[in-house]
Amino acid sequence: MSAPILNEKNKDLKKLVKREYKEGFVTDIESDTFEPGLDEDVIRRISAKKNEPEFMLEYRLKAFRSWLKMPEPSWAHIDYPKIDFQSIAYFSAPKEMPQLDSLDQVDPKLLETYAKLGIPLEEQKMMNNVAVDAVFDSVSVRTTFRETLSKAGVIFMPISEALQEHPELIKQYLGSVVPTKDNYYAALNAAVFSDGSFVYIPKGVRCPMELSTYFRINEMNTGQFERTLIIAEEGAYVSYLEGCTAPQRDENQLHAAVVELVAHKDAEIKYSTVQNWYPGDENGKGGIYNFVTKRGLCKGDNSKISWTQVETGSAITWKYPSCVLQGDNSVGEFYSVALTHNKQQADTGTKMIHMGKNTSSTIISKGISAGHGHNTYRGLVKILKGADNARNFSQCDSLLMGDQCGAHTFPYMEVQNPTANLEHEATTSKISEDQLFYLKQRGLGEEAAVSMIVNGFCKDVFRELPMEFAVEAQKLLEVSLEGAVG
Amino acid sequence: MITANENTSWITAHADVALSGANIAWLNQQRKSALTQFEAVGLPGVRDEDWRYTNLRALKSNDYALTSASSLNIELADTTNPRLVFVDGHLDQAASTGLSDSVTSLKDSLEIVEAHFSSTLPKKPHGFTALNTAYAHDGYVVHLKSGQVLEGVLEVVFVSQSADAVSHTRNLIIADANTQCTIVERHVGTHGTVYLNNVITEVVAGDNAHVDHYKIQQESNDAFHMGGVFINQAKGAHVKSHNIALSGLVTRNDIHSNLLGQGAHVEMNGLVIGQGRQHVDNHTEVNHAVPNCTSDEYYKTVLDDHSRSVFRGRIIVAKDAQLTNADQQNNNLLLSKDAEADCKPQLEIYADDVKCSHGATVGQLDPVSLFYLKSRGIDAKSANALLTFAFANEVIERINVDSVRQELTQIIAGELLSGLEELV
Repeated sequence: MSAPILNEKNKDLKKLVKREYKEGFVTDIESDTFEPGLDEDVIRRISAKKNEPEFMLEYRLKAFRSWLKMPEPSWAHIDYPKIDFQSIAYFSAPKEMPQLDSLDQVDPKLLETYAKLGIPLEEQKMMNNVAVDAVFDSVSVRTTFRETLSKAGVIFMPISEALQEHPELIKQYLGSVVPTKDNYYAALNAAVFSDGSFVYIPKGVRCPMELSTYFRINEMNTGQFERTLIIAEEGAYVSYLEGCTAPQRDENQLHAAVVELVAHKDAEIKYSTVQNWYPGDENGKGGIYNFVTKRGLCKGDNSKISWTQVETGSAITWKYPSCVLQGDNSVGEFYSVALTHNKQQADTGTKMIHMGKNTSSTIISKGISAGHGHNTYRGLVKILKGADNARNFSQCDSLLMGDQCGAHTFPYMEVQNPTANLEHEATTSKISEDQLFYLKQRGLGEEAAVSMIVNGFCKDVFRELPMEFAVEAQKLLEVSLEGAVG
Repeated sequence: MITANENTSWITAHADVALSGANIAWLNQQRKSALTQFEAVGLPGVRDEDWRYTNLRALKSNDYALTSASSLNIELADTTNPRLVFVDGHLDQAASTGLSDSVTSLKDSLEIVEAHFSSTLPKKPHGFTALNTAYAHDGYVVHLKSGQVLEGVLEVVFVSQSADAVSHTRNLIIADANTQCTIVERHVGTHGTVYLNNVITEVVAGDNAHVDHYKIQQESNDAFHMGGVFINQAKGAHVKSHNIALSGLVTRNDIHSNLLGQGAHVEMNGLVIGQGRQHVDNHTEVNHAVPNCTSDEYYKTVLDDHSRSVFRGRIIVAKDAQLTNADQQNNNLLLSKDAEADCKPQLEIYADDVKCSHGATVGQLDPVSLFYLKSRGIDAKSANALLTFAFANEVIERINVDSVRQELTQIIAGELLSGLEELV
């Protein structure tokens, strides 16, 4: 088959299939939302609303003051109008929210929303062994399986509750991996974050089930600033998954989260993200600005932190899940699939900071650009002087679909130790007509063939996701790519 | 004297420069705007993304005097090739052979270079590039008229012999359609002398022109070398740039190629042999502006003692540049615990039907290969040296000029890897 015919066909396909964002509905629910604007008073009000201990308010104010002095970063390969931080509401909560003891007390409308999203909040209906913490706008609405978890000694609760029940743990760990002054968005988050998940796995415990948080932005003009803190004590293991969606709106909404992971000796944390914030329409109108700081500290020897992310949503993604490999023999991993379609832009990657001896890290990044999307991998592998026998393997592959998109790679390697072994590989290519032809002559339709090739391209990453989510991610990718064949 | 750390000092000193051609309008215009550019950007610092790994504190803490013409007072190795000699940035007529209609000095060929001067430079030049345009007083010009072949190899030696001197030289290779030339540019100095050598070579390669450019740096161990090789390539032009850094305290090279005509091909080879406190920063950039061009980059680094190398390799594939084939390799070998390698490959791709890849490694010699050699009765030291040489040799092998290849083999195998010369 010759190329022109193929292109003609693609055009028809493009017309036929329009991508739908099926999570784009709005839930009509009464909420308690602050008026837009940000000053010390707003922060005091957030803190008061949450009935926080004094140290927390101070922490927030300190972060806010340093945020005021920080310039907005501009180095990323993304282009967007300046964000007006005063036009954002920094707190929004569904109204009438007394302490929830059972599912019956949750607003049925909320349950409906989560049902629509396919989040199994009702324990009895759950097929998977997954405990869910659902965060709606700024507050956590429901955490499931709490009892089962507490029997194992695992603490899994909204961070606002953890502040009441375990303030000493929060005080000890909050900001220990991502300090308030770390970067512009982390400082903003530290000042205004309203909720998020807190996980504590005690010594020697293997968390009996997958933990999961579901994030949903519902209210207009609000920003979502959640904070996740996961601590795995010596020998503990936890696998954690987060998912996110938002309604379809014309204006951009800001999401600036911070995730901190601490893995002590012999502990392992596996953190997976399926990010499907509203990406904006095909003309780039609307969509979520996703500015996220994620960092894990492999504090103890033989600890391991693994990040897996599937990024298909958001108008702008600015996200660099990182590992600080402090303990000897610690391991950091980063697996990523980032898809940009229409006018989406993603600047994402990782940082692996090798400090301990015999540390190793693996980076597998797969970027797919379609339509007018721009996809950038930006990563740093740093081997400090004392990090003897450090090992890193990085692979960043880009797949281009269409002649209007872009794929970029900006890896940084800094090596101060001669025993280090680093390899970096990057390739950029498109789906070859040979591959397509082969699959088609085996009886596959064009869409199915493309989807199969893309899935093969992403296999290394999907393999790392918990099984149910791997299937989910695969479907998500299919939906996101509809109409992008070419 | 110019106080390097004070930008105003560079600007006021410009008035003292009695340059030939100072009354030429276009040149004055260029110098003026370059000086304005410099005023805006100043000398770079570690806060600039492109200079984040290169600290210029030592360079900036010194004072420099502008040089005037003097004659050669060191002895150069014999050569059978035609050779131009520049002393402290000024052509030494007496020591030079090979001047002809096609090979001249910048001073004598201002009317020839008018159309090309600064035409290859980046749009936003850094401080040293701006200063070079503002101050450039001499350099070599190779101008080949359509169909002309410059037989053999032209050698150009830049000797820096005055201490605390700064020279700004600008060279141009203007190769019209269907021409061919091979130029070996050397930068030498006496160890122990502090000076700043700011040198830019512009290559304007016309349709199907073949230019082979070598830049071999054997600067003084205390010298600063700020260099640039900027290339524009028209349809079917083939340019090879070889960039070999053997010594110098702080070396920076910007090697850029703009592929402006279909079928153009650029090859960039680089080798850094770092010792002592040497710091070498190579920034390459290949700009694929049109379809059907190819580029091939191969940079290797061997670092010993406290040496440090920085590599930034950028490949840009413009929206329309379909069927681009770009490859980049950067391999670093660390021999000492105090050595450091920083590398930053970058791909920016705006077209879909392209093949682009880059690879970067940092590591040591392969223990299995070492074991193999030792099992064959070769002692550890020689085995190490052999493998290190083999690593560097992959770049040396790409050198097409026999005499240069042999010379570098001798230097690297003999002096740097102590006593291997019998083996190679």
